[in-house]
Amino acid sequence: MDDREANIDLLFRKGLKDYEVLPPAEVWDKISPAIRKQQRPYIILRAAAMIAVLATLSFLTYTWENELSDSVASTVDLQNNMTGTPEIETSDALFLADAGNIKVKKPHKSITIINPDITIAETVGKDSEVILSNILKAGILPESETVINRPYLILPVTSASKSLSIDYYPAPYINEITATEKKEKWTIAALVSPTYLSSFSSGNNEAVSQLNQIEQPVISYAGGFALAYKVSKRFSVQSGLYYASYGNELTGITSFGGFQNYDQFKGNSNFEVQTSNGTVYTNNNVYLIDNLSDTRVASFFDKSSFDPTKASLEYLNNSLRQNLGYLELPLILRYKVIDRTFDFNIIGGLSSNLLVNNSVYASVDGEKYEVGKTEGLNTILFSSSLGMGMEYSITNNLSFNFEPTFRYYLNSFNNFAGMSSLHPYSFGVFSGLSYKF
Amino acid sequence: MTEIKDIINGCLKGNRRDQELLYRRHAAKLYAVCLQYSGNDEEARDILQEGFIKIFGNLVHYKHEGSFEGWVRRIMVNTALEKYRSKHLLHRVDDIDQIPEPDAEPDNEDYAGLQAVDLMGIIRELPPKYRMVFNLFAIEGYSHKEISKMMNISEGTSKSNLSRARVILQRRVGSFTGLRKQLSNG
Repeated sequence: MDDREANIDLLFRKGLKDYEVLPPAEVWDKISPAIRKQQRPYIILRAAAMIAVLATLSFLTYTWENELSDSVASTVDLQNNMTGTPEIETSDALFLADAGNIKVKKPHKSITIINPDITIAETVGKDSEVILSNILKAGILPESETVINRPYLILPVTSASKSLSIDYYPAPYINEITATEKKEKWTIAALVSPTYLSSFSSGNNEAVSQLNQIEQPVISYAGGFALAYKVSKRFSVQSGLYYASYGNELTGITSFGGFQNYDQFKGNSNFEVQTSNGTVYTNNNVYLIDNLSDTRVASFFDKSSFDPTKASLEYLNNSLRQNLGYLELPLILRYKVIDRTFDFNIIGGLSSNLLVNNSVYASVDGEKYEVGKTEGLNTILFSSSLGMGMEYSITNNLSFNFEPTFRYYLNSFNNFAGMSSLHPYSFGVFSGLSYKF
Repeated sequence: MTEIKDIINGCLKGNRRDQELLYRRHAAKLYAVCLQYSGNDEEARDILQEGFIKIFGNLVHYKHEGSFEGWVRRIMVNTALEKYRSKHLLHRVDDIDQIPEPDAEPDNEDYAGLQAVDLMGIIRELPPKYRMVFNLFAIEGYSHKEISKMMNISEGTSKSNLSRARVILQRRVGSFTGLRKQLSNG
């Protein structure tokens, strides 16, 4: 019975061993978009998240600024006073009323005149040294338009509800305002920063998150120059060029040099090391042993077939350093929240990062012993950044800058299918000098 | 011919051409596996589709140690098994008695003339749970202990399902070859 049973098994096993049937063409048409989708949602979601964060922050700071100016604004009801031909007294009344309510500390204020069905050629507020001119009849100016006219003037906003808003700057601030408006549109800065790159993992890709746990990010550096153009009083657009280097310590991998003599395959890559940034292919002169995991290092050579302690190999180090260098081209928006001797800015933007340095080495007495390269890296990365910029004016044109910045990478360093569960980010504190011209 | 390692690396980088190349290279063989594990073509196509999506999604875990063909086949068999489990979860009660005992042992064991396409036809006619156990045991080489865990059945059920499957297959093979002899004689 057993023999006969085995025979029927064998008949089917052998008979079907090489059997092939071409599947219908539409199967691939369904698979193809599905595997493309596996990576896309992450990128779209991350970009959307970053845009949402930036938009929210911009909105909040904008609202905050408006509240600051609104808190000192006063509304003067001149409905009764301002009918008929305006006299200089009318203006005085305006400013008398104003003077009682406004403390002239903030440079920017506004008042609203209800029912401004009047034409005032020119009025002068003597007491508060504010000069208004060209107050126009309601309905002439489009709503919300504010014009700074002459050294000190300010102009009005009208609306259908027959109220006239006048923004004005009291005299003591006028020179300051006009001075900053006229000059110094450009700023150039040189900045350096220590950087720390890491990533958090989402999903349940165990292999990748395990690698991520074994590896130790090391503090590296970034530096470069930035060029900013002032678009408005508070907004600047900034670009520049930075070089950013990121280090990753592959702990627990012991390396030996001088393996070339024992390498009977004479291949270019004897060892492959799985890292969270991709696979490292070694050159043919090193021998590696992984002390922490038995799945990270793959090779023809293992401890059973080759004993490095018996061969005359040179011990290098017990960990490897993976180094990646990127040239960063940012496009950044700066929003000035506080405009004083000590400025405070919110900085956010997007960058493209070009891979320019890719090396893996072992440190031997401070020297670098080249071990190999990481393969399959994306040559271009896109990152979003968010930071605070503090600026202390040393002179009128020269400032000291201090900018803690958080970067979040929109795509992963490597396109491996499992890597989409890793979300790299970096943190740096940029400091340097900037010059306005 | 491009090395499979290069194709895999290409796929990992998201290269469309390599993805399609990998599919074309393995689709026919794996589709045969799907047909072998399923009762109808639509189900086979679904298994193939889901299996390939898993293959692409798990390429990063492939260590280049065993044969790639064996690795993709295992994924496909597992996908077929998952499909079977999801479909037959509610019918776990053994319906072994519904299969009639053969009247006699088939006496004709001259199977040599059977083509792969005939064998495939015969295997696909088996009731699903017999087909699953027979495939896992006789074709893939799993033990009854392993099969019992994979299918969530007892080892005893696995053994009896296997012997039922064998009986049915022998009878079908016998009648198939008998029929053909009759045709050639007649």
